Amino acid sequence: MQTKKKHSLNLIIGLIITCIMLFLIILGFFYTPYDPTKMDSSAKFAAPSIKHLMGCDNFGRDIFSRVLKGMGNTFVIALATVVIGVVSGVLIGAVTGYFGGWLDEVVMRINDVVFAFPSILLALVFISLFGTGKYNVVLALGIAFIPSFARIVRGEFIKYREMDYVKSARLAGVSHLRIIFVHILPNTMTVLLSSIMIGFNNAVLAEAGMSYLGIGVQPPDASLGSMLSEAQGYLFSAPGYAVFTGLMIILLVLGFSLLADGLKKG
Amino acid sequence: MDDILLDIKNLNIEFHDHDAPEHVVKNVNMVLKRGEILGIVGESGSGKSLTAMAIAGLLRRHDITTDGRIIFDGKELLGAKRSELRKIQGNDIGVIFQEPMTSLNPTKRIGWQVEESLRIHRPEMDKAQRYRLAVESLKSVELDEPERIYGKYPHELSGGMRQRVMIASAMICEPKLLIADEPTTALDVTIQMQIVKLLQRLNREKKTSILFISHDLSLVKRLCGRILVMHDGRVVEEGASEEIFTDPKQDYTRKLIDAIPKLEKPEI
Amino acid sequence: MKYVLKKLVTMLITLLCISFLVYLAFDIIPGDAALSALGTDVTPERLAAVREEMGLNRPFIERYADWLINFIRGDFGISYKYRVPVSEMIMSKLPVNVMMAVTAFIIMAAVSVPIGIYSAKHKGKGIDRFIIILNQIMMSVPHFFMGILITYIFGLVLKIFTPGGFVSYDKDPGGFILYMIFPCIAIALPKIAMSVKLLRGSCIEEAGKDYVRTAYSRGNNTSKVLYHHVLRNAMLPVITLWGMTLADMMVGSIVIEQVFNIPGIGRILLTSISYRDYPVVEAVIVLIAFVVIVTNFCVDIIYQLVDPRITMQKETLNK
Repeated sequence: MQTKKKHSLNLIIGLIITCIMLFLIILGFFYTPYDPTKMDSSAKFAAPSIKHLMGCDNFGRDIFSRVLKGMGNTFVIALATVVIGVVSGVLIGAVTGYFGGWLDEVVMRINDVVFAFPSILLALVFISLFGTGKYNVVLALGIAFIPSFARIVRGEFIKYREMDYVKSARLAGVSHLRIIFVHILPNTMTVLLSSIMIGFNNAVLAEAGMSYLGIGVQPPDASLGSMLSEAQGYLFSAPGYAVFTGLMIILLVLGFSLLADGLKKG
Repeated sequence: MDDILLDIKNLNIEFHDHDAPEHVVKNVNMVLKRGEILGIVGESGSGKSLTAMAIAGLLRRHDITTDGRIIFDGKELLGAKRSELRKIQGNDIGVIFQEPMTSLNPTKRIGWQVEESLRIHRPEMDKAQRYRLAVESLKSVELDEPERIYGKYPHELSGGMRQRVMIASAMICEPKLLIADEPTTALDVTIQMQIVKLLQRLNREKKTSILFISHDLSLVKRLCGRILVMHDGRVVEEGASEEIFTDPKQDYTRKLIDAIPKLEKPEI
Repeated sequence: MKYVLKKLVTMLITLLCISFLVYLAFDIIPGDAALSALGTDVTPERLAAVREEMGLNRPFIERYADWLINFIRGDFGISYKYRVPVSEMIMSKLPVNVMMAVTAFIIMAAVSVPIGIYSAKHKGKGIDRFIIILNQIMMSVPHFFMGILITYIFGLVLKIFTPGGFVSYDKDPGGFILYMIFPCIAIALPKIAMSVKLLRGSCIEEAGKDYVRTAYSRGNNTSKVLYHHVLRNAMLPVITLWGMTLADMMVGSIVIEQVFNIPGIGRILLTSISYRDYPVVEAVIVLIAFVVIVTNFCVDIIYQLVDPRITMQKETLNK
């Protein structure tokens, strides 16, 4: 009983954090208290106040507005990354896991090789070849994330393809395509959903890391990572800039990891 | 010396892991004499295994309360200190469990596990002595090439072999009581018989008392002199094997006996 | 032994595959290597000459074989931008990163095991809850932000070290260690949280297994059951995690370098990426991949030593 209560608590806290963050992100798309690029020399390094919730940066720009915008960018990039990774991963995993055979062998060997490679490193190769920028980050990380999803989905499909209900569906003449997408895929959802959330977190962290290094999102676009790198220069005069920006990353990741935990166990 | 090895008086066991406490063993009384093989039969959930675990001192969890007296060899076990209990566990009481596949540590060699009780209860022994005893013990449970088995890992042995290893490890300190909790349930029928014969032989040769718990009446009849029938946490019938089989007093016992598949009956 | 051999062969094939893929990618995608080495305003004759000199007219496989053999010898080619051998540029910096990753790894292993065990032992109590919450938060903190926080707290507020004031080992060993310990902690912290969580969970799971009951029935006390029986089994998933972690820490050291202004391989990699100095990028990537794959190999071997079942499981899986 005790443990059960705690898991749902995880889920609830995760849900609350995620909802607040999503609200802020959506808000940021339509409305920010100030123009995030407008400089105001009188407000340089202003401390947090009612007027400027998180204070102002070195150019007197409102940090809260910038955080909202940056968070939106981070979120969209992470989401697009996960979509690429999940869609391709599910297709590869489903086909290889369901049919097996030599195709499975070959694809999984390639998968293993890519999997052995840290995803940021793979993204670095990609960036150095195709250049920096938002879209390349999405593509690079998306491709880097395919193997982990393919692995999970393949495992699930191998488990389900031997089950009696699948066998009887096959005997009844149901097409492979229908079995894959209608009979098996929905059953993998619980496993897939929590790994999507974990994947989303990894994407947020990887994007932030790359943008922090200056090889991700390029100005005038800003993401939480590139803002942190900027904020680091003013750590002494305006520590709030770095702290608030970092806090947003933490909350974004924390919310989804609590949700993933809650889903997995609950 | 007293003739009675184990005397259980008014044993009650309650679970508290749900909202309402669950009373799973109710006022159980039983006596086990030295050198005797006592069978406890009953369906799953009848409380027979819990009774056995209580005797072995393996029920000490915060969500379980026990009440009554378990007197083993003149000592009260239920209220004894943990450290006192540990001196008895593995030394005077050996236990074998239902699942030979999972009851051995998968990452340790057989020899190490068989010797473990010796390391705990006979610290004065050296390595060579322990090795000799372990091999002897493996041999006494009729395992071929005990020296080779000594160096193997559990996953390299079959279920029947693992159960023999469990018996060897439970018997290595020559305990006064061996508790066998459904030791044959997970095994093939032919191997079941071998294990039963092995237990019989150990009882004869080492004078070890055995508490044999099973839901299989035909096995219990073969092995045990006396039988206790448990149902819904209570002892419903007790008596010599033959007596119970020829003249069951309770409806429940009769049902259990009728449920034994008979060879004469044509299978449908 | 057969298992080790098999793993060794797999490792070599993986290494070969990765080097091939990286070489292929850097050969095809950027376009003309001679052009990027010389810049756009160059005469066609000069271009042709350089092309010949760089061996670009030869078949791809031949060039790859050459490059691979040279790479194994420690000759990584010449930097386009700085016109010096790549090996000179990176070999003096690589140890800094390897050292950071290894130190972070040691910190992680040394800290997470006792905390994980402690937390599992006191499951459900206040201190355990506190550790779980702290863990959840720590796992969500990117290591470079942790680095920034550490810089702020220990560098600017407490003034234990001077941010940006890296001193090399030969000049001041004490100062070097004091400076390096903070980036290593920054890399280690999120991984500590992950392994504590995993170890706690797997200790609790193992503690409920049948063999633990057997161990108690032999008269073991709780700490003997924990150290002789549970821990070894509970460590198995943690070892797998650690294998991946060392690779992450290698990459993490590249990022954390920027936070603490440490002259390591990361700075070279980043400038090379922005200047499209491909031989350098290629060499760094393949070297890191090499470290990662060799680590994975070692983890596989260690895993097999801890878990005797592994060889058989693999064989039955293949059947």
